[in-house]
Amino acid sequence: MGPFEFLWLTIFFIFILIAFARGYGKELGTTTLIFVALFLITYLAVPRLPGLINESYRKFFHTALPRRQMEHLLASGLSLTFIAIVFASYAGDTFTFKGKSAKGMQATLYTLLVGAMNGYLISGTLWYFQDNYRYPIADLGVLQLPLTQLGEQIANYLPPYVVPPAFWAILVAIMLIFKVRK
Amino acid sequence: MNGNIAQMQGNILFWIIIALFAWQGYQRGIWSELIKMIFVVGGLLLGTPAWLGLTLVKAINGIFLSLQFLIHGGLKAVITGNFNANALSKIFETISRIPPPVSAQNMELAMFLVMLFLVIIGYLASKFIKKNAMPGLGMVAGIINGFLLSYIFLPLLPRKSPFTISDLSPAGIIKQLTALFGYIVGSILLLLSSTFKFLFSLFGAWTIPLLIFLIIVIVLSSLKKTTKKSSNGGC
Repeated sequence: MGPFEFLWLTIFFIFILIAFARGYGKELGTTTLIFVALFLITYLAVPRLPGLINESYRKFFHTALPRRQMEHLLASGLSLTFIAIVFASYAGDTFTFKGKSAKGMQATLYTLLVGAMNGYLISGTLWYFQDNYRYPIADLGVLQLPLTQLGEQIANYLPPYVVPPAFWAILVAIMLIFKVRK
Repeated sequence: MNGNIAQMQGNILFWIIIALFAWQGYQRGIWSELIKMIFVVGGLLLGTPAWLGLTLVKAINGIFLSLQFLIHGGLKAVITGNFNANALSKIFETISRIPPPVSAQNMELAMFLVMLFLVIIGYLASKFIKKNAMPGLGMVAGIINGFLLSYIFLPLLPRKSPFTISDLSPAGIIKQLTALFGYIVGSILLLLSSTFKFLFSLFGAWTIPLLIFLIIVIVLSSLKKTTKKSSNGGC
């Protein structure tokens, strides 16, 4: 497999295409759920989950969970949870923002912006789960480490690294205010 | 020979831009074009170092330093009226260590971004004028806008054209189109990364949260309320 950032870029562009297929009114519903997921993950799961898992494991097996296994468990568990939330935001009756969307070039620009934002949030968060837990995926031979120079640079700007946890909650509140207003 | 072709391409591009702006001016009328012109001229003045560009940079840095002065104890001194020489010199010592938001290295980029911002705002503002008044004069104003925008943006194009029209075989055309596409994508990426770097030098770690915030507020504000139709059918 090629450098990790190619995978990231592919996911990023796929979400831009999805946004163009659905329109930005619908995509904003997905954005809201991503914000909620990011708040729960960064505010609750990432700081508290390792302690909880360790405690439970120790109770059952009377020994500590090896660090690398813990990292595998957290990276895959959090990734699957996040993917499930994103999938739920697209499947069935979705959470959408009703209202008349802009038209023409303006609509294209807004769709591009929302698609790029969703792409960045989704692919960036999935990358973060790998980066934060020292790339467990590399143990499966799917990824060759070290990252390229560009990969290292992008990894510094992953959403959970650059946005404080409480800010996700503020964004959710803004989204809900607009949802109620419309 | 290649120089002549590049010059010819530049001329063709110039007249195409003028024709497009003339047509747009005719379609949208004089008022819409005048609003656009005000912003384009403003952008040109603020984006050119010899005119108001340097004054703009000095003003931005000056406002930033004034804010830093107030944040680092100046506000307290003003409120209490305690202009102690020691305290003031400490404040000035602190703020002299803070780098200005627009440094000498990114000065030209900052001026260009302000100019681009004003041109975009002018274009968006002109869309609010729905009435097509005096299309003939609109066409003239459109041509002037075309000249102004060509004056701003055409010098930014590379001297060596990224594509040539000398080889018109199918393979040659595909090669030229690929080069043109690569050039456009490369230019967009360069503009985006330069803008991001500039914003990062201003807002640091808060750049991405601020961008996300701005995107959602702008996009959500664009959704207009849908009016429900009466269901009684007039009975």
